[in-house]
Amino acid sequence: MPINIRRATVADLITMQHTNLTNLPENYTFKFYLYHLLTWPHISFVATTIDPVDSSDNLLFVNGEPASENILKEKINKIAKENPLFKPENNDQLLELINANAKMDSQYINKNEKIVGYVLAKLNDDEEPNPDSDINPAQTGHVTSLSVMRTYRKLGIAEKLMLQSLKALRDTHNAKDVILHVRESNGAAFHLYKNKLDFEILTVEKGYYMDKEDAYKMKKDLSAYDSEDEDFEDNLLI
Amino acid sequence: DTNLKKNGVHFNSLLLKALVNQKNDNVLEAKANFQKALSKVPGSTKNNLNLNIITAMSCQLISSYYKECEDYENNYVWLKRAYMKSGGHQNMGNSMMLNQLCLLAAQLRKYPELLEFREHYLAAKPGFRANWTGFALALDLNNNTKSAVEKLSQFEEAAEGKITEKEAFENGECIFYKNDLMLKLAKNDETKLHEVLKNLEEKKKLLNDKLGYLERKAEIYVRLGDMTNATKVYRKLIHRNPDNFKYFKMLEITLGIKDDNALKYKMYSNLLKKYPLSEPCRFMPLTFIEEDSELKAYLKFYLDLYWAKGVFVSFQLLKPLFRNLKLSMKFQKLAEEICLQRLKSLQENVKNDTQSKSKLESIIRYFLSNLYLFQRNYDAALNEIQQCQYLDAESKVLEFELFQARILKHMNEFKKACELMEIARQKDNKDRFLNNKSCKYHLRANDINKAVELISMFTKNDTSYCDTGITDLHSVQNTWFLSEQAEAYSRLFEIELNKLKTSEDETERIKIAKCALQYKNLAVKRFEAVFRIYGIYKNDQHDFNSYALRRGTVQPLMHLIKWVDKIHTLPVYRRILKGMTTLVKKVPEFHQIVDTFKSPEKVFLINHSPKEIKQVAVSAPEVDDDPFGHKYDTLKNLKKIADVLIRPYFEKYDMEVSKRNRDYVLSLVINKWLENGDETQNKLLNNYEEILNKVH
Repeated sequence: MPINIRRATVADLITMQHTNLTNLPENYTFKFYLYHLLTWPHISFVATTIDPVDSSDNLLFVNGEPASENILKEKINKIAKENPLFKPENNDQLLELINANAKMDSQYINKNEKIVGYVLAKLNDDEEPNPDSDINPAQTGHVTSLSVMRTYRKLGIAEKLMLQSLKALRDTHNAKDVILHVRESNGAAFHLYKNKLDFEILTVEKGYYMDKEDAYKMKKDLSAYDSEDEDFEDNLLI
Repeated sequence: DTNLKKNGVHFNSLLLKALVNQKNDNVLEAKANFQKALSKVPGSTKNNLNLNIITAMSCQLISSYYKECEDYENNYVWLKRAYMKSGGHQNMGNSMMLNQLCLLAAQLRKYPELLEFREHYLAAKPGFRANWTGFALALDLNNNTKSAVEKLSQFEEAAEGKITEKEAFENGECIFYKNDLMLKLAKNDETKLHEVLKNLEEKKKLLNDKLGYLERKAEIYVRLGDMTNATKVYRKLIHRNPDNFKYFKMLEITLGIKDDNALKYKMYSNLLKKYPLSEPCRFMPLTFIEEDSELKAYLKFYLDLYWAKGVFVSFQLLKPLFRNLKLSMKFQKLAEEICLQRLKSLQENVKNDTQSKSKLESIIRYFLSNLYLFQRNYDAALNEIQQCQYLDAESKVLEFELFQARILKHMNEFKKACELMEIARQKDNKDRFLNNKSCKYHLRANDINKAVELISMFTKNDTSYCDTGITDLHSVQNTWFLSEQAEAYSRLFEIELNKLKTSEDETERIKIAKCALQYKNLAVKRFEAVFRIYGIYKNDQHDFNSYALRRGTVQPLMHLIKWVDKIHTLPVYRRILKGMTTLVKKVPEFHQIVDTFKSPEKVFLINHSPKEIKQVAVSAPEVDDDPFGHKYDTLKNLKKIADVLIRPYFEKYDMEVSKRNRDYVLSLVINKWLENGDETQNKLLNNYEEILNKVH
C-alpha cells in the first residue's frame, strides 16, 4: 500500500513502540511515548500505509483470479456450516463482515493502516540550561527516536518524516535549532542527517549508548524552516 | 516497626508496613501485612468490614496502599471515604485529597462525580488556570459543552494581557481547545460557523499548532460550502506536506472534480510537477485511469520511478490495486506484461553495463516473484526469486533471502524458512529487524529456545534471576514477542496432547503429560503478561489527567481518553483473547486423559532446577514465586478455567467493542463457556443478525 505521512496521535503510540522494538536497540516504555505526545503534541509524525481505493481483502481470490460464483457459494456455505448464523447475501456483505477489523498484528492501527515509520521529537525545555553553553534548551528541539521498517527503506520516508518534524518544531515552538544523536556505525542515518538535511557534527560522545558505542551529537539551525504564508493561485486544471 | 513491637496488631502501623513493602516491591509480604491489618478490624465479619470505626487517617493509608498496587478502583473508594470522613469539601485542608479524587474519577470514568470534585477544587484553588481547564473538561465530558466554553472564556478574559512568556504555550493550547468546543457546538449552523472562524482568525497569533490551525480553517470552509477558500487552504496544506492523501482527496472535492477523471488527471500531473516526490501525486492516477493503454503507460511510469532506485517494496505499494475486486485482474495482467516486456528488452539491449543491468533485472524479477506469491503460484515465485539470487553474484542483497523465506512460510515449510532467515540475519547481525524476523520465524516453527536466544542478543540481560532477555521483554512491553511465544507454547501443548492420545505406556505418558502441562502453563503465563501490559497502558493514563491540564494539552488528553475507552478491542488484545480461547478449549481434554492414569498425581509432581527457572523467570522470586505457572494445575473443567483465564479479559472486550466490530463467533463461544445465560446469547444473536442483514 502507498505511504501516507501525517501527524502522530495518541492512537499511534503503541504501534510506534512496536516499530521501535522491531528496529532499534534503544527501547522505552509506553509511558515515555505518552509523555512526549502530551507534552509536545504537534511535532511527532508517522508514516502509515493507506488504501486509497478502499480495497477488500483477498479472501475471494483463487490463483489470483476472482473466485467463480460456485466457489464463492462454496465458501459461503462452508462458513455457514461452521456457523449457522452466518448468511451473507452478497460478496460485498461477506467482505464487509470479514474485514470490519484491523489485522490482528501489532503494527496495525486501523483496517489497512499499519505503521511503517515514525519520528518522535521533543523540546529540551524540560532540561536545566547549562551556563557554559550558548544553547538554550527551551529553544532547542531534540529528535528522540526515528525509525523506518527495513522493508520500506529507500522510499525517502525518513527524510519526509524529519522534514515535517523540523518544520513543526520551528513553527510550533519557535525552536532555534535541533539536536540529535546517531550511532557512529549507522551509516545510512548519518548520511541522511549530514548530507540530505545539513546537520553539523557538534561532538562525538564517547560510550553514549548502552553497548558503549560512540554517538555523534549533531545539530541543525531551524531558521530555514520559517513558513512563508504564500497563496497558490495557479490553475491546476489546465 | 517500633509500634508493631509494642503492639503486634497496631492497625495503622501494619498498613504503613504494607505500604512500604509494596513500594519496595516486596509484593507478597505487603499483601500479607495488608490482609493482617484488615482482619483485625473489630466488629467485622469475614465478608463485611466494619467501616464505622476505621478513621479517616486509616482510610487514607488503605487508599495509598491500593494506589501503590495501581488498583485505582479501591484507591478511589477508600480515598473518597477518607475525604468524606474528614469533612469533604467544607474542610479546606482537604484540597490535596480532592485533587487526587479528580484524577481518579477521571481515570475511572465517573464523570458526574468528576464534575462535582472539579467544581469544588476550582472553588478551593481558583488561581490556577489548570483548575479552570479541568472544570471545563469535566463539563465537556458530561456533555455540557456550552458551559465548558463559558468557563474557558471567563478565564481567558480575566487573563487577557497578563500571559507571561512561560504561560504562552498553555494559553495557545487552551484557546485551541475552546475553538474545538465551539466547532462542536456550531454543528452546521452557518452563523455559528462564522463565529468559530472569526475566533480562529482573531487568536491565530496565539495558537501554537499552525498545522492544526490550517486544518481547522479548511474544515470550516468546507462546512460553510466556501470551496474557493477551502481550496486555497488545502493548497497550503499540500505545500506543507505533499504526502498526506487526505489533503488531495479533499482538494478533489473542493475543486468539484471528484467524478471527472480527465480533470483529476490534470490536477495530479500539475501537482506532480511541483512535488515530484509526492506519493499521492504519483499514485492516485492509477486509481482512476480507465483506458487500458493509458493505464499501462502510467503504471510503467510509476514502476520505473521505483525500479530505477532499486526499491524492493514497489509491489507492496500497489497492493490495494491488486486486492480490489474490480481492479485486480486488470492490474495483475498489466503488471506481468510490463515486467516481461522490460525483461525482454533488457536482454536485447547489449549496450548496458552488466552491473546495472543485473540490478534492474533482479528488481523486476523480485516484483514478479511478489506477484506470483500473491497469486499463490509458489513454484513460479520461487523460480523468480532464485534467479534474483543468481544475479546477485556477491549475495549482498538480504531481501532475496527474506522473500524466499516468506514464500516458504506460505508453503508451511517453516524449518527451511528459518534456515534462510538465519543466513540473512548472519549477514548483518547488528540489524535488529533481521534478528526479529528470524526470531519470529523460529517461534512459528515452535523453536522457542532458539527464538529466545536470538532475541536476547538485543535485550538487557542484567538480572540475577533470569539468564535470558525474557525479563527485559516484559519491562519494555514487547507484546509481539510475548504473544507469539504464548502461541508457540500453546501449539506445543496441543502437539503433546495429541501424542498423549496415541501413547500407551504409562511412564511415557506421564513424561508427555508433564511436558504438555508445562507448555500449557507457560502459554497462559505469557498471554497473561500481554493482558497485564494492556492494563499498564491503561493505567499509564492516570498521571496525565492532571499533567495535561497544567500543560494545556487538553486535545491529546481527550484523544487519550477516547482511545483508552476502546483499548481492549485493539488488534493485539483481540489476538491474545482468541489465543487464550484456543488454548483453554483443549485443557479439559488434557485433564480427562490424565485422570485415567493409574497415578495421575505424578504428573503434577515437578521440581524445576534453578537453571530451568532462569530460562523462563520474569520477575524476582519475591514478586512471583511461581515462574512456571503451577497455580493453574488445578483448573480442570471448562467453566472454572474460563472463569479464571477468560472472563476478566473478555468482559473488558465485551464492554468496549462496537456492534459492528464484534467477533460474534468468539463472543458466542465464550458466553457459552461462562454460562452467561440465554438472555445474553439471544441479545447477541439479534445484533449479529442485524449486522448480517445490513445490505452493503
